[in-house]
Amino acid sequence: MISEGDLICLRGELGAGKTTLAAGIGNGWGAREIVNSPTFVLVNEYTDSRGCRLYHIDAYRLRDAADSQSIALDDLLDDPHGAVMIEWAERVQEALPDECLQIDLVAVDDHTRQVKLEARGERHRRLLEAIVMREE
Amino acid sequence: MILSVDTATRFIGLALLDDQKLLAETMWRSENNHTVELAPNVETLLKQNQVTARDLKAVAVAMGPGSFNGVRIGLGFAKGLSLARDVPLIGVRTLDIVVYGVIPFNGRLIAVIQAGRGRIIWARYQVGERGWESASAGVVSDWAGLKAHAEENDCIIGEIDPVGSSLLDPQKIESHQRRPFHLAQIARERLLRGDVDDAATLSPIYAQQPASGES
Repeated sequence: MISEGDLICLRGELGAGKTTLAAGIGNGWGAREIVNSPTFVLVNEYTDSRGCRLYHIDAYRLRDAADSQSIALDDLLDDPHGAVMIEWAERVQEALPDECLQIDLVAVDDHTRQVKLEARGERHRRLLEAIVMREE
Repeated sequence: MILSVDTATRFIGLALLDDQKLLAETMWRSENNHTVELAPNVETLLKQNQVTARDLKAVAVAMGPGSFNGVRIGLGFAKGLSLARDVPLIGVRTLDIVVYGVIPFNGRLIAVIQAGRGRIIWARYQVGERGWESASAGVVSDWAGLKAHAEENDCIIGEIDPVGSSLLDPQKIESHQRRPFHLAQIARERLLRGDVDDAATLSPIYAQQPASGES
């Protein structure tokens, strides 16, 4: 469902399940590579069979929005053939556009997660509607 | 022979300058694949013109501001070539290329390049001893931000998109794609003066990000 220009912001504490959800999103999107945590490499780049790209970023080790320059966040967001999915998005909030699909994850107990989805901007509202339709 | 490489924005440009004569110039819009597109295109350009890397006397490169990845790719490539062939490297500020060749007039210029997602990088130029000289560092903003800073007699030149031309006074703007030919010419002038850079230490120039809350 994710298409070029989409921005998915994943937020939640350590162990909330951000990477697990990201892996599911990446696999569902059609990544031909293994979707794993980019905590140490900061950015994973996946491609699908059409040659589109999905950038999977982990901002945990970035200090602030200015630090996001060091991973060329602007260039990734500007890729006409790419979508961006970012964990710990709150750490670089100022460097991100206002429009995104924000997903907040909370660990209720060992087996239960509370998930809140919030869409900002028209295209992400449509994305959220499509997700909700699919769930129903 | 000077090879110029400009990967500072989505528009990639290459040129070959043989003394004062332009031998070849090529520009294309990259699909954010500067890494993949640059080296093969340089090879093709050299081949088409029966030039080899041995013929190069200097390498010129746009050193920013511009796209973070783009600038680094161009600089990395140009440094590699310069070190491997042991020829001088000349780094030129991207916005200096934009204003090169503009006939001096009694007023100021604002040079603009695209920075993606509706944003631009701009800086002010005024006439000095050697023609247009930068009067401010490159800053990132949107068109409204530039409009708010532009003064009565400023003329705006560079990559002006429809949003920019709808906001600004049409009498005061000139849409103009910077040329790798001009980059090579600037480099040639600097080479003649012996004003070259050190390939080991030349660093990219980044634009100033807007302060938080202002964009």
